[in-house]
Amino acid sequence: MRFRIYRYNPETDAAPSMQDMTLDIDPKGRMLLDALIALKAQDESLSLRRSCKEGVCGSDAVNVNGRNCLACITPLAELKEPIEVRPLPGLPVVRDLVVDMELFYRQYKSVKPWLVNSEPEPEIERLQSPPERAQLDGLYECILCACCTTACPSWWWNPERFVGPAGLLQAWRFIADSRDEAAAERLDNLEDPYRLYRCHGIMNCVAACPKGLNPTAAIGKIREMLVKRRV
Amino acid sequence: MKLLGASGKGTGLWLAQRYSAAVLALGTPVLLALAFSHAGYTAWRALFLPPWAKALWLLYLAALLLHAWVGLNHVILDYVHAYAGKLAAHALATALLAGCLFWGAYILWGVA
Repeated sequence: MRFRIYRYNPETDAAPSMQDMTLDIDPKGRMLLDALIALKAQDESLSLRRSCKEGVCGSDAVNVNGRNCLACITPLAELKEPIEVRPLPGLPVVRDLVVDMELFYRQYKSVKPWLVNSEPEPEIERLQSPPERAQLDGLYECILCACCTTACPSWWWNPERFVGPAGLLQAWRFIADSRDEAAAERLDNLEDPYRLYRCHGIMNCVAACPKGLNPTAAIGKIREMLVKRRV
Repeated sequence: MKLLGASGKGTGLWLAQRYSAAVLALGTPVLLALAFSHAGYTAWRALFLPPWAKALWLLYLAALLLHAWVGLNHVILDYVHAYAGKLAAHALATALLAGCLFWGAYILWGVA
């Protein structure tokens, strides 16, 4: 199989380049990550991140033939050759396919992604009814791979100020949580032309999410709450 | 100084865009219907002649310009990143659209 791999070492290269590589591999039943690991065995200087190999850790997000995906759950057989593998767009490249996620995590942290509850801690756990728990479906599954946020043009233009789809999905996850008491402050924190309202409903995030989540819908819910408390 | 935090604004603009769109949805079909019916000068004149019609069409124009302003504001926030450039672009857009409002009022009240 033929591959075109993005190569860049900021310390030694003047500019990024695409390296053509070939691999003798049977694509049947194999994922892109298997090929990338085999390519790394061919050329040890190739850098990439990976860990769990089953779409749970979110560390091997890359841009393949123009789409963000997790290499470990992307079937090789479904990809058109030459398979072009690039780092996630919109983030500084550390080396080859490895990007600096600092900005992404900073935006994530800015929505305070933890439960805020001043009630005394119960002996065992804070209980939720099944319908309350069901509110978190489609939200808690996010693995923070950054496929959605780095596919969002609004985030490309304003990464310092727009929270981005992943951060906003998590913001809604905590606003929607029946055990959380900080919804008002959370909404205050997002009431801003940049932090929330840079979302134009482009929906690249929905197309890119490897877990099939819908950040655009979550953003819509946050907006609904902001409108509700205003009118 | 690391973070400036949220400005506390945004939903107002979002609502303004929706409200103005509702006004546009009421007025635009009337204008389009007349435009495609090959109506003559008298029909157009009748549409803008009564004082209450002038007031309603001025409201329509204001909604159109407000809608345009919110749209331009989006473009500026998306693409203009320098603080001074943003201020200048905002001022220019606001002056231009406000000018259009006065010009429109002048034209409307010129119908006699």
